[in-house]
Amino acid sequence: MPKNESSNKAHSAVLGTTYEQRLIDTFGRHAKKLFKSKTGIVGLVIMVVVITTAIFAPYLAPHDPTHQDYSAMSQPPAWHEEGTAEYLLGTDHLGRDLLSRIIYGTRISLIVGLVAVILAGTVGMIIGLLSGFFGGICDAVFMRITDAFLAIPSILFALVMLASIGPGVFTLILALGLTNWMAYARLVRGEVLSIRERDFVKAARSIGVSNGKIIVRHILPNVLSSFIVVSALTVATTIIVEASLSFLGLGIQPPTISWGVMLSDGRDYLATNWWIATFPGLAITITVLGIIFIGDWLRDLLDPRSQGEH
Amino acid sequence: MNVMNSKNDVLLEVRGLKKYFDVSEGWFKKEHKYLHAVDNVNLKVRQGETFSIVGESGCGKSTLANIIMNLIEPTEGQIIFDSIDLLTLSKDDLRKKRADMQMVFQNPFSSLNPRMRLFDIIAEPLRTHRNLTKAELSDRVFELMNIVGLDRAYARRYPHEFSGGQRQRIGIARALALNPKLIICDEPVSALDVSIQAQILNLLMNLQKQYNLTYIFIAHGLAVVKHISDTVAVMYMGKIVEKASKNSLFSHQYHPYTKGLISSVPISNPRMRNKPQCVQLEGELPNPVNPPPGCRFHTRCSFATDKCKSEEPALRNITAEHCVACHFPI
Amino acid sequence: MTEKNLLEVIDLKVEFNTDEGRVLPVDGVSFSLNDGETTAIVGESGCGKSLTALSIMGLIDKPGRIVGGKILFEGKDLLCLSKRERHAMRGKELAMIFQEPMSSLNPVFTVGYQIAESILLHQNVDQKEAKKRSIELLKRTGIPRAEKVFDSYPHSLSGGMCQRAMIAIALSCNPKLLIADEPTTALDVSIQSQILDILHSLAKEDKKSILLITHDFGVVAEMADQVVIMYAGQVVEKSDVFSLFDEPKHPYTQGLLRSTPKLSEDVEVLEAIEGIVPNLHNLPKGCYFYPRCKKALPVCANERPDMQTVADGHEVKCWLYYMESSGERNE
Repeated sequence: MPKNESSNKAHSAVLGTTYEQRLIDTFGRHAKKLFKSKTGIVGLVIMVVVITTAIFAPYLAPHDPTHQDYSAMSQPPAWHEEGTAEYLLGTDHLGRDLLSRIIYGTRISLIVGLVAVILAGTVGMIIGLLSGFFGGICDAVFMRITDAFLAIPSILFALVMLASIGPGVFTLILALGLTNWMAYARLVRGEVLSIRERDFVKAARSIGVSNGKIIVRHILPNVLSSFIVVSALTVATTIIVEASLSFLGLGIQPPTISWGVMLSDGRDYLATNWWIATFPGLAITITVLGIIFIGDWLRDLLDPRSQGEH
Repeated sequence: MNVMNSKNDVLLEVRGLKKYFDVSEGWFKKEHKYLHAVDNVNLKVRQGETFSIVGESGCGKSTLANIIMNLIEPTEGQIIFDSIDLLTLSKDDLRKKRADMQMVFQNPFSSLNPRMRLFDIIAEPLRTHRNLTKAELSDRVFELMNIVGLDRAYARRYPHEFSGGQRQRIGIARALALNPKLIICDEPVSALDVSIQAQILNLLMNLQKQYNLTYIFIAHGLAVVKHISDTVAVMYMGKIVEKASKNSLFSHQYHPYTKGLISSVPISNPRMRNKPQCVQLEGELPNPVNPPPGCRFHTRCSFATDKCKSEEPALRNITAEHCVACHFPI
Repeated sequence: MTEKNLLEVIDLKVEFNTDEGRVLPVDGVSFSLNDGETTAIVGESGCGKSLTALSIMGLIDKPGRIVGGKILFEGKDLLCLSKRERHAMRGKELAMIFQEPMSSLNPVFTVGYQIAESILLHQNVDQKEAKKRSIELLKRTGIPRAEKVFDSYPHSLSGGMCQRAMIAIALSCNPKLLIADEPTTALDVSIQSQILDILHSLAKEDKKSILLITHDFGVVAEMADQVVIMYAGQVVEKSDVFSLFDEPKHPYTQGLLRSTPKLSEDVEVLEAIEGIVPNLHNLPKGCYFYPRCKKALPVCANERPDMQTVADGHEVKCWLYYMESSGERNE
């Protein structure tokens, strides 16, 4: 029977495994999972392109993004009848190359998104772990602080911070980080509360493992998967918030380039020169979509049940 | 520190142990309500024996196990382990003492961290309590895997790749790692398939012989308890109602509850199916928050008298090795 | 057979489509259930016993699907019926009790509402009559203060009470066949014996046909007339209950019976069945039980045995009995 042959092969593959084989096996399984999920592949491709662009911006950009070509102001994209091949996506009202600006803008947008999320995630993770694990007064205090922060409208809070410290990349990251950690704290606390009651934590306590080690070895790894999924989605929303704040003039300040700044620049010319605002907008949309796809895929991937039988 | 005056071979003694959970409702607690999970339990576990605690769900047997393991703090009482009162120990001393007491859990699926490899799970107690070199550590882990019958090729796998029985073996290897004196088995086989149960029971019994282990065995399956125990204590609503050597208990039950419990186990013989049961347990457990006065079993007992409703029976000896908490033992 | 077959399952196959390929958790299961009798399907987790029950109820969900066989209920093939016809049969002709009574009842409705709902759905009665019948049913399942329980929510009842309520719902339309999937596994011993008493009286006094799914031979001995033993998706032994307990034929059945500790006898060491249940993705080439079998013959490693009749009404799927019964072997 052909069915038996294949099953025997699978059997010996499971029994006679070395560590390396298993590693390849695990990796292969993950890769297989990824290639099964079409959105996962799309997300991965988008993100690889976006990140490569950010890293190699100086080599990829056809022009200096700040150079103003007064002979080609507000030039439409190349496929337009008035466009030229020199400026593929056209130029803005000061004659700067849109494509180069978008390529450079990738850097700031990604850095702001990632660093702000890392900041928010770290703060939220620590508070969530502590209040979930220790409970009692610690939990009550931390959760009331969280509630207080949740009660402040986050855009308003960011605006106040930017206005008082002064705008800039650092302030923006700080503001975005401090307005986003509460969601993490609540999420992590909830997960910790349920994991804390599982028998393996009890087992660790009965062995005599210290609280710190229980948190690091037993609780943290089990919280991590939902944490990473939520983080991926938050990177996406953070990029959007950065764009909105920059659009309002309170985020990244020129001459630093971000997609939000470019949107804000193009705002006045929407009716006449649509491309100035549209292309950075598209860049945001595609990046955010890519991140969301990856987040979805991570959710499936990090589910322990998806790594093997059962 | 408490010095025991009882026989030397008593490994664990529990005296007057109580655990009341506060279940009062609302912010302004007008009256305090307590759930009497464990109520004045005394027991002595001798070195090398298997001491079983049986009872239905909610009788307090798991709470008792958790208190002995110091996972829950008791309201009152003493736990004397190896001549030391555990409740008087400092946190650090207690942590060290824990090496001598380990636990095997009921649910083999939740008792292993899904994100740790088998090797690390078994190595964790060693890393916590012993300063071993890398080579010593892996030697010991492989030795333990061998003892419980796990192939060393499995060391790098994650728990979800194992069946329930294999996971229970992992849990047993972890419990054995520090050469403990006492292992508390909290329903170690009740989540397993029938054919696997026997494997695990045999393993536990072999290990006991080999390493002179003492077991506290928490279970609700009476047949399993009969197979593995030396001494059995029956719990009902937080109290021990009957305690005896296995042979004495299974040949004669003095407490109507024990009698009912044993006669309600289905008999694996279709020709005996219509045999009338001598004591049928009617009704269900009363609310443990307000336990009935007097004997807690009187609401379900067909022999109950007025005395049972008002006066609480004390645990007293009927024979040298059989004690019962009933005014009118049958 | 002299009695009428109420239910006959012939060569039932259920397929699951998983990431690692297709498997057959129910692989050619055949058995029959006579009117007024109790048949027990016995096996360990993953042997396909619950899926068999769900197939009969028509409750197999994706990724599973029935890929072959027949389920004859009163001579009609259930698998040929339309979705609507099957839906109409559920509750009315076939009813099921599940293992977890607490999660089988909807927490947001009262117990009484859930029983009355099922009566109103299938029978042409008014609200008042439905309530009266529900309370009767609750009393029938031995619930004290049935009127009070009628208005209670599931969370305020114990597991035993919920299981009684589930039985009441299952009985509400007087089904011809009651399927009980591990009805006492989640309950305490004393409650288990109370529930078994109810099922017993249903079988004996009301002559109800019951298909009992269980892993506990004690429950089988108390309840069943016929027994079907399943292993890795296949039926390995079929017999009446007396013949099975007197003379279990299949090494797996023998092993199961011996490895269970019993109150009535003392053994020093339990005779465990070594090894583990095979992975469905990775089944042995020959007999599925071969890797764990103490009595295996050389032939067991490579060829799968067929069902053999070894005594009147006693069939077993094992090479050990092949020679004596058929005298010859097809090579």
